[in-house]
Amino acid sequence: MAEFKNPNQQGGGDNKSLLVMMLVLVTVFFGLQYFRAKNNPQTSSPNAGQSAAAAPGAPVPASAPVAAANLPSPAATPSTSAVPAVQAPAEATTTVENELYSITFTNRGGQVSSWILKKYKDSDGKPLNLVHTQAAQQFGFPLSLYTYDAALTATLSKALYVPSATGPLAAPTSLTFNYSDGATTVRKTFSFDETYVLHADVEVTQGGVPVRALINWPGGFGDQDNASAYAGAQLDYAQHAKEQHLAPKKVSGGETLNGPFDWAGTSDTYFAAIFLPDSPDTATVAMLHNQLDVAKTIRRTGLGSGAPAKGAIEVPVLGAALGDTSGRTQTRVYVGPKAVNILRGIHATGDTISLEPLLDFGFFGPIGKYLFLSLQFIHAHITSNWGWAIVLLTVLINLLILPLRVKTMQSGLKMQRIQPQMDAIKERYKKYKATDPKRNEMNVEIMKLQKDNGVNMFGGCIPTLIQMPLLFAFFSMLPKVVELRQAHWFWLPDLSSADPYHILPIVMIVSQFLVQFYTPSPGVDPQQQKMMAFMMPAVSGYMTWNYASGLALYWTIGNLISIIQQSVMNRTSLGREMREIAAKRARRKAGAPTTISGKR
Amino acid sequence: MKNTEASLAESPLSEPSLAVRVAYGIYKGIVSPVLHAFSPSQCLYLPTCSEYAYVALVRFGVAKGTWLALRRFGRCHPFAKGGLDPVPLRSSDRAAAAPISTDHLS
Repeated sequence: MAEFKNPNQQGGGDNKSLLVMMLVLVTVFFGLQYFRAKNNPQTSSPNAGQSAAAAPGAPVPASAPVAAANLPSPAATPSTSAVPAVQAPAEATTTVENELYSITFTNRGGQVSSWILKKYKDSDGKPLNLVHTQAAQQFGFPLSLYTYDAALTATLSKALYVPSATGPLAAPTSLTFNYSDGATTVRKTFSFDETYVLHADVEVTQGGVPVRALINWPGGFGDQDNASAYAGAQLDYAQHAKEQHLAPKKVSGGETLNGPFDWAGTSDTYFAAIFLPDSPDTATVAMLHNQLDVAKTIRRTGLGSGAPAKGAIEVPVLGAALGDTSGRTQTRVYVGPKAVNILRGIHATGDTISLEPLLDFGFFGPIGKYLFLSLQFIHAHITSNWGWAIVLLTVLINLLILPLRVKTMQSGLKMQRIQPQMDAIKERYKKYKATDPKRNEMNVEIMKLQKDNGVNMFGGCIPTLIQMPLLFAFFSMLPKVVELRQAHWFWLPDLSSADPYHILPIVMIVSQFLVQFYTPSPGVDPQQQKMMAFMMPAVSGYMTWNYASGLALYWTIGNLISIIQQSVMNRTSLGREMREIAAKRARRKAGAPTTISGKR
Repeated sequence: MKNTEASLAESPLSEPSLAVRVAYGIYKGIVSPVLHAFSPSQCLYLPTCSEYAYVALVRFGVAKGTWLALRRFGRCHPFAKGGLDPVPLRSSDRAAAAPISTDHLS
């Protein structure tokens, strides 16, 4: 196995330590996978106690009885006689509809029992109901009222209001709920137009004195049905035109933040409920954080998903309520997808900031955003399929860096020609430590050899510096854009979630192997190169196996293009010459495996 | 790993500290091959940035070594010509060092 000698290694590492490192790497990868599968649903359990304890007026215990309350309950509320009581005799629903949504209000609490987004579907293919019913039954329904008095909050959410209309209503319209038990008077007015935005105006008085009543999105979204969707929950707000995104573990339930707020609310990966107060300066926000046991409803993926859940699976459920220091709350409410086209058209009062920053792609966000905008452009003008848009964008990116690639491949081939001489030089200097000044002479010799043979190190690490951020930007962007949610491409039902049949990751592992196999990496130790030919496919396969299949698509297409480029390159005169050299060398090393190292 | 700085300050020319060796080994053994696999590219300079950083850290200690390595990384850009760019020698070693060609950057 003469070719396994390792002239590149200096100082610390021999092949044994390399193997140990690979082993550690593999262990870490699979350990992580196991850890992720085990722990994801319960990301922030440490907060469980906090949310209940933080504020005496937390809505959790207060609104919990809503679901349990029976019809005759309003009679129980004491009615002192000064103001005539305003109460409905029975529960009734009102459904407000426009092109985009169909919102069903119930007069019990004057709140929303179902919020259907017509353009989106849930995992069962039914129109998506944004109300997370299980969470709502425990923590409260959307557009209910939150006060700093638990008993009042409970009363307000189970009282039977008198609606201004029942049955179906078509937007633009408005809907008012009135309630009074003599002492406490509530008026909730909602106005609707043809957009996702509606306007809310709520006022609660007790004995003629205004009580601060916050309008509430108490918890969760109806599209959350798996661990990663629950983990995507966050609180979002913008102050002084600067946006903030809080992960569940940073939200302490019951805490109230004071304004000014350009906008504030909660969102999951794809959908958001954001309040845009009419008077940002006096707005206040109550952050709500609860733990919900979803063992019965969660859809699990990954290791051990076949078996039924053992015990409780606690997930964080975030909510937000917006009020005003005056007591009366007037705000616009955006409830809809986190789609950049829609968000950028919705501006905070005073036009300080739009809702666009709500969509956050993380560290590589700026790159991710432009990638997505180009993807959207392709989708709008060239193909109406998001999968093909990804394919086209990948081809485009690869065309842009093609000149760089060709140069790199050319010098790579030339490097192959002088590889034996280089190895010989390195062998001669092997006895010196990496830090020995003698090593300089080795570098001088290598440099001279390269120059004499016309090897031109073009671009250096620049191709890597372009491609790695692009990959990471795709990595963070693809699973976050609602447009790709349930976007089909051939057998793939959803480009933003994993390939259910694992076809694409497998194709991509094979293509990655071929790339490693075909691409000469001069200067890289053959042993390492051989290992990478197996490690890289494994690593990239791991990354894409349970990840948004759009990423696997991008990666696979990129690989296929690399393979094509390399095979074209091999057919040029330079490439043919190099292959002959490689073949000659391989023959000389008769008996030795000629796979990857044979190409040197 | 805990006495990295101390040992380097004492005798910068002695054996490289464990932290530096491990970091160098991980980079050379894992990170660098992965980067090359993602995107084949070659180094403009000799020694490569990682070798440069390793030698600089061993020769000059953490503070100056890091600074030298960062400056070297900054020199790697699309308009650089590349070529030989060895780590400078410590002034005390210069007399003992073997003479090397001086026009290597031309």
